[in-house]
Amino acid sequence: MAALILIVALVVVSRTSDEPIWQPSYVTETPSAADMLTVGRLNAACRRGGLPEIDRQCEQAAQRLDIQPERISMEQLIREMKGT
Amino acid sequence: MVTLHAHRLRVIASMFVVLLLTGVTTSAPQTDNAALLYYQACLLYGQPDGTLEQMLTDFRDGKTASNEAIRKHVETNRLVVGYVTKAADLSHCDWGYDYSLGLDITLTHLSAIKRIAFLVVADARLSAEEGDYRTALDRCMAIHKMALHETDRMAVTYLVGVSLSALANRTIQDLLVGVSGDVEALNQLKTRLTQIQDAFPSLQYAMTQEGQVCGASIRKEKAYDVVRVMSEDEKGSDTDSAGARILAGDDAFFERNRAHWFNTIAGIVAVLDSKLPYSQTYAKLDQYSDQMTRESKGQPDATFTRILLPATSRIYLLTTRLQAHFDAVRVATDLYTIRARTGRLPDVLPGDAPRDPFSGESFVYEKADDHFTLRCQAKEETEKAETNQYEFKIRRD
Repeated sequence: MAALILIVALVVVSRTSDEPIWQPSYVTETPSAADMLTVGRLNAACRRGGLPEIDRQCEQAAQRLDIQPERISMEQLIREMKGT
Repeated sequence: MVTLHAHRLRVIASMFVVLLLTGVTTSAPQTDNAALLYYQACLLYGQPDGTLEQMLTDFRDGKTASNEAIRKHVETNRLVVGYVTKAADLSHCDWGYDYSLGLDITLTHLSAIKRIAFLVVADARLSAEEGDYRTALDRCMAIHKMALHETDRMAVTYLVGVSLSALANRTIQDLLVGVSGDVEALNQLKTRLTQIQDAFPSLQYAMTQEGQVCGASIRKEKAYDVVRVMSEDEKGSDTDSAGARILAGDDAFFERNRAHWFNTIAGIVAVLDSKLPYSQTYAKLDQYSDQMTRESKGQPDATFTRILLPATSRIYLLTTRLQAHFDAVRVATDLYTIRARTGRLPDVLPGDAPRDPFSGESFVYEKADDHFTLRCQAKEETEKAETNQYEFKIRRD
């Protein structure tokens, strides 16, 4: 009986290891801001909700990236570079 | 020997002076790539906070007049407006995308480009408030040119270009009353609008380019990336089985999918090329999309097409709506010109007026005391009635 269980287990393991493991990414991953701005994801946004959805996704990515530049004077910049 | 030495010194000194003068009189080299200027404008723009943003939105939509905060914001970002108008005047624009990346091309500037377009609209409206309508219209034309630069080789950037041009047309529509008595300005505007409209890339072109860009992702080495995107787009057992099919696909599977994708794109382009009336073209594109959804369930060769195909009928609708708006504004410039010359609006539209692209018929033209309206005769069923109706104010004499 034990041998039979072992054989069945080996067959199952050998079969599954040949097949690609497909784990839907939404279960495990949250796209990064850069990912959200790829053509693939923006196309997907377009299919979901047209231009407003593209806008929403771009805005969300921009917020995550924090690409809003801060005004910084040359003096501040030099001070920061010197580490003072 | 001494004389020769002195002569050499004189020659060298003269050459030095010539070089110096050349350096002074020749202007510094400037980029001919508009994208570099747009990128700089995006980086320089000091975005407004929530309250100011709402004020700017209302001002942009013509709901409110300007205030001190709006004027200060535009003035603070004067340099950004300068970069944009300079960029818009350049004919060459290369955003530097690596097309070989296919679906992984990253469009980092889309959100920022719309924001700087909004800033330029605010500047246009401020100029109009000060009575400088010519500068105001110049700013609108800069947004139109920005739109042409934005319409790159992908459906997404094409759509952003469409939305920028729609923004420019809406602003022109509101500001046109300011130049309604200036025949020269009206003629000039009509000519410039016609040039932009003619230069706007066709949807056929955009779809062909989209086909090439997305087609680059129908490869085994891109399989996992495509599946990741797909899983966020649609969740469910169909998606899971398509994902498994893609990950397990062999070279022949990808080859057949590429063939299916390019055939589908060619079919869509053929529908658009057929120049059928709007309603028939829209229906055919819609059918195409439905057919893809049905086919993809039982046909592994259509797996990628279903994932990658943009909502073509929707893009076609937006493109047609943009054309209708261009046409309506051009008709309005004719009507204002007639009014400026004769003192009154005509009772019917001029015979050579552009036609409503939805119906192929003339716009419906209605006059009122303080405005006139141009309306498209055919509408997409799902749209609101007022979507394709354009109102133009009349200045009371």
